[in-house]
Amino acid sequence: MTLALEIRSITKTFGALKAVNEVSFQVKRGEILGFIGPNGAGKTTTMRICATLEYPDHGDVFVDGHSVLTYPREVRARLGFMPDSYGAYANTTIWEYLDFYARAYGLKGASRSKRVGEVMDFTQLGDLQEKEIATLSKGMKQRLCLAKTLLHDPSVMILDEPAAGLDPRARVELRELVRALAGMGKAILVSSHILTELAEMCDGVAVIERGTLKFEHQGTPEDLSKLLAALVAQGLAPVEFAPREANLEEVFLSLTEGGSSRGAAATAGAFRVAPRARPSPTC
Amino acid sequence: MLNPILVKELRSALRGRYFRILFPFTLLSATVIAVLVLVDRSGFRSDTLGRDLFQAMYACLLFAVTGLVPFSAFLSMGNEWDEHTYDLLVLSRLRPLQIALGKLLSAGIEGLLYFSAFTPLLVFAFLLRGIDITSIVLLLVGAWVASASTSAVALALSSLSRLRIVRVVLMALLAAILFGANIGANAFVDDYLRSPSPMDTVEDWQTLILTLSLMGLPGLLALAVASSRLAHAEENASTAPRVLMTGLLVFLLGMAVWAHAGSPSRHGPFVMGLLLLMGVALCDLFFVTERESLSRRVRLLVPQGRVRALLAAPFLPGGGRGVLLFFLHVVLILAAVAIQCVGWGTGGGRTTGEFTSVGVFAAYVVVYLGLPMLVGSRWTDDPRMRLLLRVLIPVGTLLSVFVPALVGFLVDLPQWTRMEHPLDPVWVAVECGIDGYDARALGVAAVVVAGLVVLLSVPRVVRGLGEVRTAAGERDQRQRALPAEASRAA
Repeated sequence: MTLALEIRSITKTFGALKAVNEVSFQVKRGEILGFIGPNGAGKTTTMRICATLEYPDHGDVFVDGHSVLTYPREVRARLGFMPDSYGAYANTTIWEYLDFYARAYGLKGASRSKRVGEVMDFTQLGDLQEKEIATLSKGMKQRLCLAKTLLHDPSVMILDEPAAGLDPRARVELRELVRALAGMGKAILVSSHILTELAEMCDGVAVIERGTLKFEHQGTPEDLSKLLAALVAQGLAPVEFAPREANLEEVFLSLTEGGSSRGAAATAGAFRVAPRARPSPTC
Repeated sequence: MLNPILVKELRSALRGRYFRILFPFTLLSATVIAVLVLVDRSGFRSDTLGRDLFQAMYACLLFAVTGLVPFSAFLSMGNEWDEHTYDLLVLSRLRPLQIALGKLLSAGIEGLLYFSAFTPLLVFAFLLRGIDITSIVLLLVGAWVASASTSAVALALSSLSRLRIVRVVLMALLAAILFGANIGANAFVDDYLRSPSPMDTVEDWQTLILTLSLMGLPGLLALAVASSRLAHAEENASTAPRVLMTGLLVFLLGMAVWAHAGSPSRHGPFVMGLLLLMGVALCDLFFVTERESLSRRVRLLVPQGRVRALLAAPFLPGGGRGVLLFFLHVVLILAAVAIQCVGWGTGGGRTTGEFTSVGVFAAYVVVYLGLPMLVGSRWTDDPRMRLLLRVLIPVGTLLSVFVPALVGFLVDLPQWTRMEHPLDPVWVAVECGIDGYDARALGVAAVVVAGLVVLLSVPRVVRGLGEVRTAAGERDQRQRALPAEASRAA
């Protein structure tokens, strides 16, 4: 069976900066893969390449077997991308906004209205359909963007920092929505700085740093932590890979720069992101 | 199905402050002006009152449809960058042309709202007499074409940069263009209304078609530019404008040859040749300064078969292939001028002098555009250098034409001050052909230098063609490998 999302050795350079270097991983249907890395690690560039917004210098990405290079339109039809920074037309209502994108995705007549209604119900925006976007809260805007991403019923979803800037309640709601989507068989690649958030949501993690994929693991972060500890115990992995605790933040610090200089608390701290991370500008 | 962008744009335009304030304000102003025209009749004759009122109302209408509407289009495109909505649009099924067209159609409907609001005033002017219905229809059609064309130009300008500061400069440029267009249009209308055309001869219709074409074609080209700017950097954003531009050029040349055959004019081919060469150079400047190599995406889409790929090469992206297209355009213009001057000479005699003049001017155009690119082509991979080249080449050309005049003034060379110097292509071209052969040596020198520029450009063109040939070969190989892979998989 074709993989939902397959990234094959992609490399992307901006001037002298190698933003992404030979990154490869896969996401299966129904799987939520957490994509972790410090700021500037290459997460967003990788995700934008998957979404056809950037093209790789080398390598390729396949969405349901379709190459982003050769068939970008087919990829866009199968992929839902929720960028970390996006805008909405402020003087339109929720219904008008979703109706516009439904038209833009080629939905027609009654099926368009039905689909708009479905995604509004799914994201619990049905009661707010006449509300102007300018008046929505941050959490509602995130849900609106997710609703927009779902309009064309994509089989693969890429969510770049979806929980950034949300309050705990909105974060829990979003997490439940993402889990529900995975339950529908959608492959989901989700990045976040809120590592505890990912730990509760993901079936696997991929860690990227300075454009290079450090680690990819299928299984919960707890599984990964145990695996790393076992590898270190058997001498198959460097000792600094051993996480001190079975949680995703420790795994992250072990695999990124923080792990190699764990003694230097300052360095490690540079990559430690508290659950209540500072909000990034979105919507 | 309705263009989704049109629906969205109309919704937000009609709700926006810009339209809600300016629409009633314009109508109110027009009504006040109409009242003033009617009250202050001392300066008007009664038999021309209708015409004068019409002219005043038409000026207001022009201000709205070729001033306010294009500005609205400019702001609407800019908002896509400012509000970060562009990525979301690109990810939908909308193609760049649909996005640009949707915004243009929205501007067109906004324009139609102004037309309908002005209708009572224009009908009133007609009832006062002094203007015929043919003139009214012609002028309204002209205003509509001008509105569409200027709106497309506004969209193209707004699509040139995502940086707000650059767009402020572009907005100032748009304001200058629209101001100039409004002044020119009002002067033309004033002239036309003094001796309106009855539209009863073929020449009248030829003139009308040519005028509307000249007004509308820049808009078409601008629409192509806007949609190509909306395309992804890796996508082929160059072929559509190249094909469209070549098509427009062929259309214009055909129209000019047709018009010249109907009513030959002595200097017609010369003027047409000069205008088209300058227009072509300005448009091709964008193609010859493109990045040299094909993007990975475009390489995959080069036509199959090496012969087909090479035939398509001038229309594929890349600076070297842009140079080839530029040469082809120059040859097309020279061929059309040759047909007019040599084939169907005016007054029964051949006018080879006209052709010589256009030929010398073409040599200058080749030198002014081709010479800097002999060096500049090394830096076209850098977007900032591309922008710099696109600014420096036209500015440098203007300086080389006008600085000698200043030098002539400073060192007391009256001939140079009168713009009669070797770097002024128009003067040399005229002196070489139309006004005899006084500057023949300069003309020959220009042709020789142009020949050298062409020769030195050949390696760049060959590299561009070679890349297309290789890409076509790779595509052929991939196609051949597909059945083998399928059978292996089976």
